[in-house]
Amino acid sequence: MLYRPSLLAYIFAATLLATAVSAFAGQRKFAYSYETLTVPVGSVEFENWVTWKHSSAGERVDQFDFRHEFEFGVTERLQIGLYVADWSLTESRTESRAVYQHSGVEVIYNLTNPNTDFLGSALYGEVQVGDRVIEFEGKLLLQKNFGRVSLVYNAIIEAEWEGESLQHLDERSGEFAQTLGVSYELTPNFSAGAELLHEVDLPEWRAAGKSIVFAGPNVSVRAGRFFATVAGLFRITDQNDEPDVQTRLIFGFDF
Amino acid sequence: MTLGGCASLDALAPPVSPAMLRAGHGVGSGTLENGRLLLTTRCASCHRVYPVAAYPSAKWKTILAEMAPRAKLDTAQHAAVLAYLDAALAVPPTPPAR
Ligand code: HEC
Repeated sequence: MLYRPSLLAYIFAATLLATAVSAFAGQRKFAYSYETLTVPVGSVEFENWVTWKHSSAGERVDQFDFRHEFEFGVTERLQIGLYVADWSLTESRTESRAVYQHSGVEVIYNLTNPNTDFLGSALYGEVQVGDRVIEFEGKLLLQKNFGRVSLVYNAIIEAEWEGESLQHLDERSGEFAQTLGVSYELTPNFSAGAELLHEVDLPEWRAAGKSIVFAGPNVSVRAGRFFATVAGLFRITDQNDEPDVQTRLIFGFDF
Repeated sequence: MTLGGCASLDALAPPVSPAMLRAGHGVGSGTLENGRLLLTTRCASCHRVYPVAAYPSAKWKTILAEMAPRAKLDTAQHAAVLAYLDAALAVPPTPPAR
């Protein structure tokens, strides 16, 4: 178990570093769903994500995915996000490996407001480029707030080209996913609820492949200028080669 | 736009009315409308829409002093929200507040 301290130290250091340089404005109540409101014009935020996927079937594997993102409020309705780097750390009994995945750009355009309109909505587009992969993602975001309760739904379509290098992207794959979330605001500092994630593989863009569902609780806290949202989702479908549990933490600091 | 003119939202933040305009110390309806819009949108991106009637005017002032920077309101927007709150509080709500 020699790798344990090094892994924890690594995550702890990355977390501290990210916290020290981050700023944010909009509070996220969900870890797996996007909400429909964009950040205010002229504001710049920095968000940090850590997703921990744990698999125990066969060999025990822990994968940590990291994301560091700047978000800019461009107009009242338009927000642009820059993914500085998405990278992952994989830990198993036999190996410990950190891999840079990709960097990218995300655009969110708000259409309607979840408080004042019948239904809040927004469109989301994302392009990510790595040294061996190109990925496109489109989402439809829906949200309704009723007093202290927020309901969100995201529909996501993803296309990915992968290969030995960017010149040889010979493998293509896709995914359809949808997320659902509910959150109750107990105080302005604390919300709690539940989230659901449903993923359907579209290998080679042909027939639908595996269909996986994760569900579990979430909480979101805000103490002064610090905010953190975490969700722990358990796989409720029975594919044993997929992670049993995944936990995502998103946090920021405003200064 | 008040397309989805939602009954519960109107109870939390009453729509701008002629009575509010009279109570608004000469503030134009555009400013009051904008104040209400900011209160129900920008101010509700981190938490729920708080009922106007939840606090007296002086308390709203101190709350806004703290919250306006968080919502990235400029001085005119800050003033518009305050003007709307003052006008809405000065007019007795049609149904009993809260
Ligand atoms: C960036 C997130 C954010 C924005 C935007 C925001 N608030 Fe808040 N608000 C908070 C937090 C967090 C609290 C809980 C108290 C605290 O931590 O300071 C709070 C608390 C409150 C409270 C309860 C105060 C109390 O004494 O219980 C009111 C009322 C309020 N906000 C009104 C507003 C108004 C009006 C605006 C728009 C000008 C606004 N908020 C914008 C984060 C925000």
